[in-house]
Amino acid sequence: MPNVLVIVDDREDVRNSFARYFRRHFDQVRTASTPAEAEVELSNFPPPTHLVCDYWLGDAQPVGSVLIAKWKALYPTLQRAALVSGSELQEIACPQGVDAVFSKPADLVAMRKMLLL
Amino acid sequence: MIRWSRLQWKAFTESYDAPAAAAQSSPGPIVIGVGSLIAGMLAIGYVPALARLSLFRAPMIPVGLASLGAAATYTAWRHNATGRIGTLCMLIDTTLYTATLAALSVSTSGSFAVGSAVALALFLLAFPSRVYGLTALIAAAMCGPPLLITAVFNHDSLVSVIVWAGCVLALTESWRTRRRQAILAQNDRLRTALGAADKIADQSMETALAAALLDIGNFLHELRNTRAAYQANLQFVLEANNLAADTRTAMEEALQAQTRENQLISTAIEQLRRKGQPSATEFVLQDRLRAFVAQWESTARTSLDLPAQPFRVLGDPTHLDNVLRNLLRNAEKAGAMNVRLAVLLGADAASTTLVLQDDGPGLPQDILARLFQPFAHQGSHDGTGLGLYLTRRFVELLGGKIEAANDAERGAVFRIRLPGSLVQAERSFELSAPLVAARST
Repeated sequence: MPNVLVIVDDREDVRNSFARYFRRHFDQVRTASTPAEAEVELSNFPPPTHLVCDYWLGDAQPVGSVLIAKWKALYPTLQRAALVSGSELQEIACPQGVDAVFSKPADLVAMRKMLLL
Repeated sequence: MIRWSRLQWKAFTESYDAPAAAAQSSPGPIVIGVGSLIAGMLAIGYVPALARLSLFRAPMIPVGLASLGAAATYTAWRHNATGRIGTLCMLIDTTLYTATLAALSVSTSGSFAVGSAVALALFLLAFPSRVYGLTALIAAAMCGPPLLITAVFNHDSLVSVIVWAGCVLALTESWRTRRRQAILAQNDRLRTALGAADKIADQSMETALAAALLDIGNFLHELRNTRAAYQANLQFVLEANNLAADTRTAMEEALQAQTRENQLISTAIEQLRRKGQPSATEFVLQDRLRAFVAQWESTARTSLDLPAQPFRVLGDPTHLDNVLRNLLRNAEKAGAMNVRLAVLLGADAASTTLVLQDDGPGLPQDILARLFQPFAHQGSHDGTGLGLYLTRRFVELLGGKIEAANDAERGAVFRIRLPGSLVQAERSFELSAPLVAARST
């Protein structure tokens, strides 16, 4: 089964730079700027195995920790998920379904190692 | 007529300070004052030598009036000089006392009559005219009985003149009392208004500061996102296979520099978070001052004058650091060469005064009264105009108060009163140790 990563972030520059970096290490990298777009990507074939999700995806959107918990339950092919945020994450450290929490600007080497453990 | 009466009654109820009047009507002073008066009248009326001289007719009438007056005063005191009964008794006792002295003056002869009239005038000037602001009811109570009684029963023109003059002076003094009360009430209203204005200014400043903190928080959030993209791209280039050695080194150094910058941002966010949740810990004031001065680098020489017995303060010690930093920086900017920090322990052991005195040019007199208000000295200073305002707020967060003045000789003096407690001497712990040991065996 190929390693497929979905990156969910509302900021285009973050999304693109993360995707550029991880394309060297994953068989396929797909990006989404909203939870709705992410669900389309999560449903596509081949099924995603890894997920990197921003915590704050804009007003009136569920936060990343809630989405990861929901998607891990909906898409059982997801093996590992990382939560990334530009805000303080002390209070939401490793909620249910989240394998690791990273503060932006994240150490991408550490994130890669965690995802491909 | 009814409306007029109600207005007069209302004016009378507002013409005196009820708690103060009630305090003056307490039984102790009344027993002494009225008791002495009654005893004096009985002596003049019934001691033969005095009775022959005074020719006191019907002494029991003024004695009875004085007794009723005392009863009215007692009733007023029981009702705290308020309510219908308390207020009415305040009015009645004045009427009865003035009637007593007027009756005494018209019932006696010669120097006794004159002396009684003078006593009446003194009573009017010493008591009711100073307690009550001038209204129709108190004017009637003070002057009605004396004028009526002397007009009907008196045959001595000197007594009439003294009573008349006493009444006029009492009315004048009562009018002045009313003016004083009006000025005091106006001052109270002014103080309340100024307090409200201060509160609004504080709230506005706090809102502005909270908004500023939020803006900074948003800015840092955006900065983190931007740097995330930047760092991801650096990492992407660094991991390229075909990089020349020096390019790789340059990329590694760029990433290391970015890591250091990230730490700075994290520290800034952490500090913001801490500002939002101030800690309250106990700290020894002297220790904190010593630690602060030890690390403070300044062109001015900072000396400490601290008492040996440690004083403990409850609050966020960084607030104290902020206060010291602002005040010392201001002293330095003003050109002070020496700053003295002294701690004066309060007599009650529940507070202390931290004094910061410099030898600079002192504070400008024109802004001294509003020194701790926001922007009080903006323009005359190269700061934001918020330094001393924030200093005051930090002191208040520690439960204290700050005052500023100029020293008679030279320099500015800041006095910061802080609540807290003295740390018990070690001896008390030594004494308690055997007691604990004895209990445990």
